[in-house]
Order: sequence, then C-alpha cells, then structure tokens
Amino acid sequence: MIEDMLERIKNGDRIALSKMMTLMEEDEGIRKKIIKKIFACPVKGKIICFTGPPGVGKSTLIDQVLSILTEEGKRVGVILVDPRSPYTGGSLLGDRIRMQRHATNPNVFIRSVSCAENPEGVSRTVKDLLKIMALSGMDYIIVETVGTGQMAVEVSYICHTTVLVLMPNMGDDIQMMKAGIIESADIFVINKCDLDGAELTEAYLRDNIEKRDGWMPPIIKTVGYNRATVKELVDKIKEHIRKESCRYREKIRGLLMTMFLDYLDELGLEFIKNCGKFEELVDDVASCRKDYYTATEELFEMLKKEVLKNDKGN
Amino acid sequence: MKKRILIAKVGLDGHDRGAKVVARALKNAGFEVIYTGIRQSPEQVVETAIQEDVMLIGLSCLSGAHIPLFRRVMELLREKNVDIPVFCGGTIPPDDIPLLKKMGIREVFGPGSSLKDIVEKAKEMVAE
Repeated sequence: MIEDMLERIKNGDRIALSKMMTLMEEDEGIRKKIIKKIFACPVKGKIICFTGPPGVGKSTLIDQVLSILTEEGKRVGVILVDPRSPYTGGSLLGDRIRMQRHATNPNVFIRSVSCAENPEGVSRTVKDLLKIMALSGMDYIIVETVGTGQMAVEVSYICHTTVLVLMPNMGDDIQMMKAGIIESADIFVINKCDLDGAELTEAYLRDNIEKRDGWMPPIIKTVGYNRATVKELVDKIKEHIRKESCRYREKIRGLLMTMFLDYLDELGLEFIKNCGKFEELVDDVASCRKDYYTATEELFEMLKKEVLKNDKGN
Repeated sequence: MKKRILIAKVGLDGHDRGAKVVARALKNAGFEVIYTGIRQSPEQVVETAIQEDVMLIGLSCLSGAHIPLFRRVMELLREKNVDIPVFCGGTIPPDDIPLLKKMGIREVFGPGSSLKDIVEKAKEMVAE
C-alpha cells in the first residue's frame, strides 16, 4: 500500500500526499520506513525556512513569495508550524489564513502542522514531511516555524536557505536570539519596515552579522503587502540557493551529529530506566561511598556490555 | 490519534465571531483546528480540507446564502471523491434544516446551540 502511495505522490496525486503526511505525522515507525525508501529518489525541491518571533509577518511574506514564485510557473509546497497546547493537546492552526488565495492553485500545496511541547520531536517530524513534499515534484518547499529556540536551528540543517524575519523595535529580543538563531540564518528580513525604528534595527543587526563561507547574510527591509519589497527577498533567496552548495554539506554534518546525539540520548535514557544498578549508584554517590565520575564510568561500562550483548543477540 | 478539523466561513460574510468561538471550544477539547478565515469560496474550503487531510469540516454562514454555498461544498466533495463528514452553523432558519440534511450535512447548529453539544457531536463524528 505504501509503495502504491509513493508512486501516486510522485505523479502529483494531492490526496495521496496529504494522507501520507498524516501517516508520517502519527507514526514514527512509518516515517523512518518511508525516508529509508525515498532517500535516493532524485528531487529538485529547494527547502526554504522562514523563522522568527510570532507576529512579525512570516505568513504574510510567504503569501507574497507564493505569488511571485507561482507566476514564474514554479510548484511550491508549504508547511506551517503552529503551537499545540500542552494542557489539552489542542491547537488552532491559523497561519494559512494569510495565504488562502493560493488554496486552489494547483501548483501550491499548503499543510499546517501542530508543534508539541517537545521541540526536538517536531523538528524530527517536520524534516521528514519536507522530504515527502519534495518527492511530489515541488520546485520549492517553504517551512514556517516560530523561531524562539532549538527547533529552528534543527530544521535549518535540512534547509537550503534560512530566512529570519524580524520587525522594528524588537530591541532586546534580538539580543536574546543572538546565540543560535542569528548564526543559523542566511538572510535577514526586517518586515513592517514602514514602522518607526526600522533603521535602528537594521543598524543593530548589521553589527551582529558576519560573513560566513563566502556569504554575507543580507538584510532586506520589506513591507508584507508591498510586493516590490518582497521581490528583492525572492531574488536573494535564489542567489543564496545558487551559492550555498558548499555550506549545505556543513549543514548535513550538523544534522547527522544532532541526530546521532539524539539517538545516544534516547539509548542512554532507556538504559537508565531498565538498569537495576542505577539507584544503587545514586545511593553510593549520595552517601560518599563513590565519587560521581567513577559512578558515571561504571554506568558507561554497563551500557557498553549491554550494547554488545544485544548485538550478539541479534 | 489526532483529531483534525476544518472550520471555514463561506461566502461574502464577515461575521466570524461564531466560527471563532466554536474553533476555540474545539481547540480546548483537544482538536487540531485549522481555521481558514472569512470569505472563502466552496472551492477553497474543499481544497483546504484535502491538503490538510481533516476528519471533519465545520461550515459557518450568517449571510443567508447557506443553501447554495453549502450545496456547492457538498457537490465538490463528491466530485473530488473525498468522504469527510460536514456539519454547519450560523443564522440558519429551522425550516432549512431538512433540506441541509438531505444534502448530506450531518448536523446543523443554529443560534443558541451549546458549545458542549457541538464538541460532543464533533467527537462522535470524528470517532466514526
């Protein structure tokens, strides 16, 4: 059944794509299976990430970008991530309101995804959803995330171009984001630049941006409803995609590292949960019978043995 | 399993308070609510339902044009061969309810409906 669905997705079947995305969202096992099946399929789709704080106008910008790209005859997929309530599990996915005029365009496919309390989990899902969208023959795939933490950095590993959207008078917020997000962005946008304070924000940004691998991240001032200002952004995105190939490998390096460390993390937690000796070691350290370095090393030795044993078992 | 639902306002009608209140109640009941905003065409609603792979569609209309607009939505769903249950709400005269049900609309929530009822019915329809 999955083979059949993948074939239909490659042929541009929208219902198959939509159903497959639901399956992948709900089941990690299926997701892994699909990615292992499709990784070698040639895809032309370039992935662009729009990130930034809530309310700066990311969705409105994407709406304009969609107009510009589809008028060039391009096919574009969009994944919109909105938060999910940790209390009820419910969510209100409202990003697509800003781009509903593209809902019936056969060259556009828009999908909303809710983001749980655990940001790593979401970025894991979203990066796989991007892959399946790429398989359906999109020229570009745009992902929108609320960029206030680790998640945007992780998604940015598989994006060709990351656009950080800010707005005037954000002052100390920028300071807050300096570690992490500023380094991961390839293009900076100051949206709503018709508001007071745009120049100051620009000056502040310029002080903090550095040239990286031969690319100086540009700062573009836009007004969401003014198409001409967004056209410059689209041109810069294309220019960056053309130049980014050397850095793309670096990003994959980061991705692989993160995924491997994630894997070890899970392995370690699982081990501690099932390890009878762990509580004993806690007692030893608490009552000064052992130091915590020795205890950690002993745990690691046990984990090693466990892994070797499992290997033989398999 | 996730409960994805589309809340959409069709036609030239900007009265969105009802749709927003219902959307919020569903969100608080654990639904993933995709809200299209106002002034949607039946084509936009059906395409959105397909792309978002929702399990249920809630239509809202307060302009009086609910019969032709909802009928078009139902026709498009059949044309595209997607089987998603539909319910509706708004200023709908009780006399219109039999016709709406005949079109295939599962539930009609007129003025004065309770949110508790709407949420309960939505849960039932999703569970099928």
